[in-house]
Amino acid sequence: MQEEQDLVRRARQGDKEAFAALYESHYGRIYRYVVVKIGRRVEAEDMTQQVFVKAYKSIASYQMQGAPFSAWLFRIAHNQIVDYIRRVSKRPTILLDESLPIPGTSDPQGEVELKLNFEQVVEATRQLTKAQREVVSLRFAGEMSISEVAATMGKSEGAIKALQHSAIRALRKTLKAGEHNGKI
Amino acid sequence: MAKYNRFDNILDACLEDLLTGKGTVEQCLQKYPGQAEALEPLLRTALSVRRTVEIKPTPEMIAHGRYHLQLKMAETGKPKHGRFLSWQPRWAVAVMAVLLVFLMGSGAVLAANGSMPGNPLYPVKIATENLRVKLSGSEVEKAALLTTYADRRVKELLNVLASDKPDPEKVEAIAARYNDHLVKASAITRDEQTVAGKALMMTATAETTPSTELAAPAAVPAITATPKVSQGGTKAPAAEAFTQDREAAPQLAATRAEDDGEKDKLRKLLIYYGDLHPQELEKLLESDKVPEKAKPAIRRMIQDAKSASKQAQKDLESRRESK
Repeated sequence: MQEEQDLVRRARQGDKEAFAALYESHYGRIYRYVVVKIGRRVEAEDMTQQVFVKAYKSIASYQMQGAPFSAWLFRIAHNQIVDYIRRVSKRPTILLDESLPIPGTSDPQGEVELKLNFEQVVEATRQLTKAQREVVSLRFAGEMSISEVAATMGKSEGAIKALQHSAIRALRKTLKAGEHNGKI
Repeated sequence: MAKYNRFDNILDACLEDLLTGKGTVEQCLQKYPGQAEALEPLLRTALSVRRTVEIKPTPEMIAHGRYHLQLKMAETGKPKHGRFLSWQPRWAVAVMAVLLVFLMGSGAVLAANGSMPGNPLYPVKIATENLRVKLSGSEVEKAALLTTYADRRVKELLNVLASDKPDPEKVEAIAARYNDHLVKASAITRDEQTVAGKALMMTATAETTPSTELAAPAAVPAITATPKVSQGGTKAPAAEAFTQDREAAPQLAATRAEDDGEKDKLRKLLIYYGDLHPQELEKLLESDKVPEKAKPAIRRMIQDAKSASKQAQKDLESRRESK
């Protein structure tokens, strides 16, 4: 954490290598968050790049005493996604990307869990409320802790935990309805 | 309400353990037997969702994104800390220009030109290169020089790896300079239309343009098997694929270029090197000359060359469309 603070401080002073190190450590989480929210791989890749470009350009505005750096990055990503959805909503529908991999199916524990694919999950998250969806995306794709999610969304940890609970319950209901093999 | 809060806390504690790999569903259920029935389906759902969205970006994707970012950083022009020339008054730059002209003819600088990493004259060579870039007459000339120097770095790498005990730190330093040259050259040759926001238009055509569609620039020499002699007078086997006049290519590309074609020629040169350098570097990686510690730096160079080429292709396509 201290190391990240140091990188952020250097990046704010114009140290490009420090910013590149921040990019390396956060790219995966931001990419997963974006891909889950928009459901398309190529667009998510481009958008993730744009998130870091925006972050670099406006890093001087980041308050080191405020929310964690990751929370700030996820907020930029969120705003990018909102812009994107506004743009594509003028088109007929957002198609889900069928080229995405389906990870985690080889685990024996998967036998007693829901057998899901990426499209199902993205579709199911679309049935959630905006806040629930945000919590699921940040927590499961962005790999954030509850406190980080709370800082990013500007809510209390208790409120985020309640949203998390209701979101998982709603996801289960939707996904179970879509399950035909009765695994759970 | 308190009952719900308590359950939310337990669910979150279990999730935290699951998501961070510190615990399993079974362990959690054992820990909270009173809530096990309600917890189990929620935890299994959460775990399934998490596993499904655990998409890992490929190393190529990360490297390409980093290159794109560096390109934007070069364009943005943030405060350049520690840059020698950035805080110099104009008269000092002029004095340095005169000095450079004077020095260019001096024996030390001429001797330094052929020096390799580790040689006492090598810092002189790098300093001269930096000064030439800084004092170049136009942006296109600057990009041409930077592209030349990127190619030089590859040759230096081959030389370093031809020694008995290649030094990974030297390889790292070469890779860092190579990246710097390509990013700066790409930033100059970049088409404005592909810059702001166009990436978000997500045009599949620009992404999939095959490099084979674009021929190497006419000025680029053919690759022959002319042996290259290393500094110590011994042959550097890995360097055999280079021609002596290879460095003439970018200068020719820049000087012969007419008006709007100048940048296009440099773009083609970046595409040309974007094919050539990875081929050479991958050959190196396949050989037993490269120490394990030096391999990541060489892989970065490969990715940087490809990213520069990809960007140049995009720019060329964009220009064709605009025509």
